[in-house]
Amino acid sequence: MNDKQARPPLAIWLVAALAVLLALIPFGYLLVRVFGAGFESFLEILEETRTLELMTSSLLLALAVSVSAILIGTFQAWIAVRSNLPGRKVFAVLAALPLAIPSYVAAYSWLAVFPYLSGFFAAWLILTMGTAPLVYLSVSAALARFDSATEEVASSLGAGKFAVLRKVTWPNIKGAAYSGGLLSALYVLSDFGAVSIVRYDTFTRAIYNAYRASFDRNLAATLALILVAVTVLVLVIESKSQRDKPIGTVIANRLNRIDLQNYKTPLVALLAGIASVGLVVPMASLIRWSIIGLPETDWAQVLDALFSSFYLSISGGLLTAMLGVALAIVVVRFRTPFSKLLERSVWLTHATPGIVVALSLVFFSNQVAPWIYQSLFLVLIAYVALFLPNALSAISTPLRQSPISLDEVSASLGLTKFQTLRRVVLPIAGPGIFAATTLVILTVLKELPATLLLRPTGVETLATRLWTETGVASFSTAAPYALLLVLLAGIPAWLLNRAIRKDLEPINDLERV
Amino acid sequence: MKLALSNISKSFSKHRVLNDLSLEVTEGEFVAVLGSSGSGKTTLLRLIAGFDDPDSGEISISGKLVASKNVFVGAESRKVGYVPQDAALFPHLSVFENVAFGLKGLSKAARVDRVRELLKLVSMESFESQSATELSGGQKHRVALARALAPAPELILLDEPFAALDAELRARIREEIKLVLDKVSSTTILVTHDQEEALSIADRVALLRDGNFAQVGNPREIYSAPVDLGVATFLGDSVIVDGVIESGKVSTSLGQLTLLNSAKEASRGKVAIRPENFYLQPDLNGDSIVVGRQFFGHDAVVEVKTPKQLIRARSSGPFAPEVGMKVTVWVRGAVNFYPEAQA
Repeated sequence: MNDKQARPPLAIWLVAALAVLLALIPFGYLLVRVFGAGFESFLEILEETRTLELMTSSLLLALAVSVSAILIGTFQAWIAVRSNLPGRKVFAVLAALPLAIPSYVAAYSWLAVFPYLSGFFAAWLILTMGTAPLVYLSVSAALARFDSATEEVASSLGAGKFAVLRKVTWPNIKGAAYSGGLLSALYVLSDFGAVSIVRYDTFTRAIYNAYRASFDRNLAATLALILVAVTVLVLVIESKSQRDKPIGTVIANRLNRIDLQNYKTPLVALLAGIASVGLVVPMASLIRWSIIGLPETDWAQVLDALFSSFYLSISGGLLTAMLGVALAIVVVRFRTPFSKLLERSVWLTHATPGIVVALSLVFFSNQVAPWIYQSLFLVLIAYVALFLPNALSAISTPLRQSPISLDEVSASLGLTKFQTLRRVVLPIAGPGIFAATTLVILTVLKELPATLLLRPTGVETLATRLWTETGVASFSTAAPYALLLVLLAGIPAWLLNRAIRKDLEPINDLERV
Repeated sequence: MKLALSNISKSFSKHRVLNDLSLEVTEGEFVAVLGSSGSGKTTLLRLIAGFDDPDSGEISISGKLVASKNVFVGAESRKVGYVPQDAALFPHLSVFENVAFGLKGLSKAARVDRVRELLKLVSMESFESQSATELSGGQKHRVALARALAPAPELILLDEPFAALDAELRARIREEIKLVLDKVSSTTILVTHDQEEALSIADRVALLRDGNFAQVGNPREIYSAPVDLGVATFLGDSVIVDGVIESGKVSTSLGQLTLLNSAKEASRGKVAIRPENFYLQPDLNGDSIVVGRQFFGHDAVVEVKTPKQLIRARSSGPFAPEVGMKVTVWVRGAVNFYPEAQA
């Protein structure tokens, strides 16, 4: 394609560039802030033992969670796709369902059962349960692509069952398993809600505390930058592992199911056990406390929080989706060096955890634009920065559905590029864009750290209420907020995601909490 | 002159796809650009449509320069109708809306009239309110043609429009579309890799090879007088036989053959003979023997072992000789002689 045709309409181009600029404010300002304070002070903080401790504790948690998530998720995927276990379809749904519970809600629900639960073990348990579905989705997609005829060939060559699993099946899915594990690690590194609620000190919690407590905010900023560096590193490894993924035939393969014989009962028990830890305990706890708290629920307050949540998520979601449409058009339909640059930049914001985005915007508004501090505007920038990558990936899929030959026909019939977008590309992608927008709105609804730090004075959302009440251990007051978050945001987002992606592209489901 | 291409070149990352190519197409003419895959025919079409621009050379449509070193008129302003390979109907629109898509500046009534007129032309008038996705392959192509014709374009480009259809339907749709295009006296460029299609439908065939036209001419000319052996074999099966010119005839292992072109006395070279130009006379004393037969119904291809080589001859189906029969091979009609490069 030549450059004359490849140039997008100016208006679209400008909106896409604006979107990326907005999304880059937090990361960009963080750099300015940290290195503005001088490289020496950066090094000083870096050398403190505390930094090293945080690094160790964060990475340790990320490693532990991803290993256990890989074990659990791969196991669940293999049972669901390849075994003849009775009830495997139910277990397949149960394996993915924990994605519907935001990590801080899960943490709250555990704490409401075991109030003294805290530290590494608690964080590990909750995050493992929350991120095993990422591995499950990734591996089950790989298993579904896998042609089991190769296994049959292996056994015809004399390989026993476990040898087949080890030498044929595993090598074909390990890429997907590792990639899912890296997504778990990424999730852990950027998670703020769960680790804070169970009081395990990782970077995110330390950043928040440094910001709250100290007058020297350079510490918070520097820690934030180190965290971004670590996530970028994990993302780089992750995208490399994606590239190595073998491309299997999608259509003509056949999957035979493996007879589990008398292992069935213990395996059903094991899967049921995992499901109870991941789902039954949190949901039972939520429902129990909601019932206990029902008589004393302050309905006006709940309604108020509900309204604020909707207000923020709809405005943030719509804005992000609108910018996302322009960006997706530039990235998907007009491949130029510039559009690739925009795409890479968005990727960079993807590596910036919610707490870092929030903190950086606090600094930004204090120093550069005090008039937007604690205004809706600042929260919206945060949402754009956080969720533009999600919007881009969700909107790109339907945009790709309209083949380029339609654009060419349209041009040959005398329509300009802008008219073609309006009359061909957008109408065809319409339903997909609508679904993607809804998904972004629901994702914003679940967001905690940026809302917590940046919300306008007096505004309380479901997420911030839950946070505050959990902080003072009033579990019954917190319960309705937790339940509403799961029912209104978690489950609808989970269902919509399933419908949009049909479990093929779990990579972009990564939500930040 | 409806379309003039002069000295067009186009490369994609160092690979030269079109090389200094020129062509003129007159008003109302139907030109088929014939080439194998990778010959650059689709690239040429995209340059004419305005989806790409040439690295050098000029394109003008109806005397107006649309592409040159300093000029580039985009596809949307060229008034060139385009029917892509997959028809590419707009899936979100009805048949009527598809055809009406490129109509501008018409009153509502005039618009309806124009669309109905075109749908009638392609015999799709009863489908106007159907969704484009509900049509069969052939119907899609007819609607795509109506859509391309609707804004009364200067010229129509057909990009292998029948490739996706099955053989029987392809022949029928090809006929129908040819009739429609003749009716509106459209100037048409068809791009195809199918020799039969190009030869049967076009007024002129331009044979594209290695980024340039190896030969341009009417179908009969091209088929019966290919400029070189390569063109000859590309246009259809040929048996290549060594020959030498003796007293105005070509002397070959298959006998003395009449020359179609002129050649210098005593020069050596090769002769290309079409399978249908052979006549196999059953002859118990013949020096050739039938070794294979592929039966196609209306005709058959017979493999014959002559003393010097194996040839493939086309023979009328029911009368094709059986395997094992002895025959004498005759060549009917004149042949083309291609002298060897002077050593």
